Order: sequence, then structure tokens, then C-alpha cells
Amino acid sequence: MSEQIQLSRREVMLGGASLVAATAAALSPLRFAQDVPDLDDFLQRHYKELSADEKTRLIARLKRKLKRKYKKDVEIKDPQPIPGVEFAYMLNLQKCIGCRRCVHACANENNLSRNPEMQYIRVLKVKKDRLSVEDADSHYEDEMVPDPDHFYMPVSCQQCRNPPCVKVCPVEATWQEKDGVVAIDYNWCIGCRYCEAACPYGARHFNWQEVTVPEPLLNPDMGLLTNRPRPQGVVEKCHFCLHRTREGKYPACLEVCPVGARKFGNILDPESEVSYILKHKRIFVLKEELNTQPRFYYFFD
Amino acid sequence: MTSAPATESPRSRPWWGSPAALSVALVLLGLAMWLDPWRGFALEANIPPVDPSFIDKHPRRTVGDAMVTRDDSSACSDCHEEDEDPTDPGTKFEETHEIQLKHGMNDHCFNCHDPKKRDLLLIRNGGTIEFKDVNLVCASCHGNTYRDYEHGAHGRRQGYYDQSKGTQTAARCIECHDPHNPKISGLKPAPGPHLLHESRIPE
Repeated sequence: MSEQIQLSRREVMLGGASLVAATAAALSPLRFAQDVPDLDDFLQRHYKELSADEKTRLIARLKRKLKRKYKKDVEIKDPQPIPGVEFAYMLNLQKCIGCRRCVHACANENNLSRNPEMQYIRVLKVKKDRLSVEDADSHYEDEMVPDPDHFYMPVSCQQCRNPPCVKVCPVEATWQEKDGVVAIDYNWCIGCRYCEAACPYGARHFNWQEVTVPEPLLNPDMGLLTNRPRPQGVVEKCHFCLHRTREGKYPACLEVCPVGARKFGNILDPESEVSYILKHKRIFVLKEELNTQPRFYYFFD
Repeated sequence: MTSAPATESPRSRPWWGSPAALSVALVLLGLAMWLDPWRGFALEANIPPVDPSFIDKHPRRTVGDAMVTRDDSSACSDCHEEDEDPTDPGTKFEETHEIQLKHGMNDHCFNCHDPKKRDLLLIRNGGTIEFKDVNLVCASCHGNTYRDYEHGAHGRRQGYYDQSKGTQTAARCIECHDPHNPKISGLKPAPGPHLLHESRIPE
């Protein structure tokens, strides 16, 4: 049984007009939307599928956008893995005093968001008699470090040889590079955060909000896969400062460490300091039982 | 099986179907998005910028090659004669040099300084070396540590790990350790992760 609704011409006109006006009002805040993706962003292909020409155009586009936002000329490089090089990181737990210099040097080097705050390195303060990272404290605010009853354990991406984060990514936006570093294509990441859940080290971080770096603090020496400011809604993490280390330099966290607890180098070079430490020191990896096989080692003298 | 009562108007509709109600809802939605009351929620915390001294890469101690301890850059031999008593433990030391000697068993100046030639240092085999090679003085007792240092496992390195691409600088022993009081003192830690919300404060 159908019930017929009768509308007068006036009602249709009034209702229609108010609907149109209300829809316009509801959508009007979109006028203030920033970084609206353009057609090139939609058609952007995966990093690994880019031809040299497409990569040049992508870099030019990113530079143009950064120039608009920060009023600053930046350099975006894309150094490639060096044949015969596999990176490894060694951290001396006996030396680390938990001063958090590495955390902030990393933020400075990698254009990490300052507000909201993004940090790749989390320094755990662990009780010496417990030796358990489960009840460690990363929010300590002591007047002076080190505290004699604790030791300090900085944790960041372990660059696993068997990375759980890479396995769970549904769109292959993260993968292992030839020199061992797990890289992320920020243009391809869909922000599902599966990798963040899969990582047993809490090393991956999601950009809930837009990356905020005060303009004078912006590091203009950028890498395509590393420290260029990330878009909102993608995951990021430590990448062993690939834009530095693939050019032979030490990572930023290592250079700032006031006690020389951090060591970095090519594990395939038998003369490197990391090979020396691997041969001569007592070494362990974090959560060995998970078979992630990290390239980040902790050691004691 | 009753049809609609004849008394009811055929134009009756559920209230939400009226264009007016929909318009009001859309206007409210637009207003809410415009005012955006939840925008400030996460950014409420005003995170102060980090003091740049926390990311200073310089070694903790500044020492030149001459390693003079006096402000006027005078050499040691300008004041000290050769015929000073080498058994003098240097009790008046703190007055002139502002030095605290706390280096294990080494409680005499001449454990490391040459008693005859005052601008030289002693090493354990009896030889003398210049101040600029001070690492070898440390090495003559701390052999294992020096071996680690030579291989890059101890101490601070900066610059290039791949020395075919650039220069690497290694801090000398005394750029971190005060040779007269070598135990490294504590530091004030840089601020920790900011606690945006009280619920994130650990118990």
C-alpha cells in the first residue's frame, strides 16, 4: 500500500535551497584544508618502481612543497646501498648514563615533530637487581644521571634480519634494504599501523598529527627514505640515518653521545669497530627469543 | 490488517525526514567543524623547545696540544725548577692549579710528570713523551682500554666511519677523562618524552 506524499512547489523550493545551503556550510571548513593532495600525489608509484626520471620529479615536487611550507631551500638526496656494506649498531650498556642526548640529537637530525613530540629512541631506566625491561621507566626526570642502582638501555629500531613489521605490511610500503636497514616509503604507507602493532620493540611511531618542526630547526640535508618531513598519517622509525651513513658518516645519535657508548659500522668489514666488538665483547640482542635477529647489539666491556 | 486511519493526513512523515531537520543537522555539523572544539585537545600541552646545549657534540673537556693548566698559557717549566724534591706529594697543588688528585694509587705529581724536564710526561718503562702524546701515558697502565680505543670500541669518534670518504676524529683520553680525577662525573639528563595527558604518567 503506497502512501502518496504531496508537496507544494513552495515546500520543494524551500527545502531544496536549505539543503544546498546546509551542505555548503557543512563542507565549508574544507576551504582551510592544508596539503590537499594533487593529481601527482594520487598517481605516485611505489619507491621501488620509480624510474630515475620519476624519482627526480618526485624529489622536485617534495622540494617545492617544503619550500612553500618552510620558506627554505632543502636538499633531498636518495643515496643507494653500498655493495659489501651491512650496517650494525653496538651499544655499550656499561657506558650509557641515560642522559638522553641521543634522543634529542636524533630529533634534530631527522626533523622529528616537536609538538606533538616524536622520538625514535626510548631510554629505559632498568633496575640493576631486576634486569627486566618490562617494568623499566622511560619517563625518569632525575636531577643527575646515572643513578647507581640502575642501568640505562636506549631502545630504537633494531633493524631486524627477520622483521615482523615488514611481514605484516599489507601494501609492502616497508621493506629491508640491501644494507640491512628497514625502510619505509612514506608516499605508499596507508597508515594502517599493523607494523606498529607487530614490532616487539615499540620502535615504530605513527604521525597522528602533522609533523611540526620550527622553521629554524629544520635540517635541510634530507633523504628521500629518511628525514624529510613525513606526511600526516604515516608510520616512521629509526633508519640508521641512511642519508648520513650511506655517505660514510656516523649517525647523529652516535656523534652526540658524551660517553662514547654508541658504536656503528659495517659488519662485513673485518677491520671495523663493530666487527672488533662482535669478536671481543660480551654481546646480547633484545628479545632474542622472538627470532627477529636484530642488527642492533648491546654489549658489556 | 488495518490501513492508515482515515483521520490521519496523507502528508504525515517521520520527523527526521523533513528537509528542515536535515538542514539543521547539517548546519550544526558545519558549525562543529568550523569551531573544531577537539582540535586543541592533543596539542594542549605546550612542549618547550629543548635546550641546544643537550645536543652539543663537543667533547666534555677542552684541552689543547700544549695542555697548559694555567690561564696565561705558560709552560710548566716557567715556574717549576728541575731541582724540586721529587718526593713532594704536592700538597699545595690545589691552590695554584685547581687540581684534585684522585687517580687511584697515583698520589704524586711525578707518577706521570717528569721530575726533571717539566714539560714532559713519564711512561711506565721509564721513557718520556711530550704532552701531545698524552694517550700513551694512559696506555702505559690501561693497556686493555687503550687496545679497545685503538680499535674504536672505547671512546668517542666523530665524522666518517668509512675513512676512505672523509676524516674521522677520535677524542683523546683527556678530552673525556680529567687525568687528575679520571672518573667521569654525572650529567643532567635531557627532558624525557613529554606527558601529553595525565593518563600517560607512569605509576
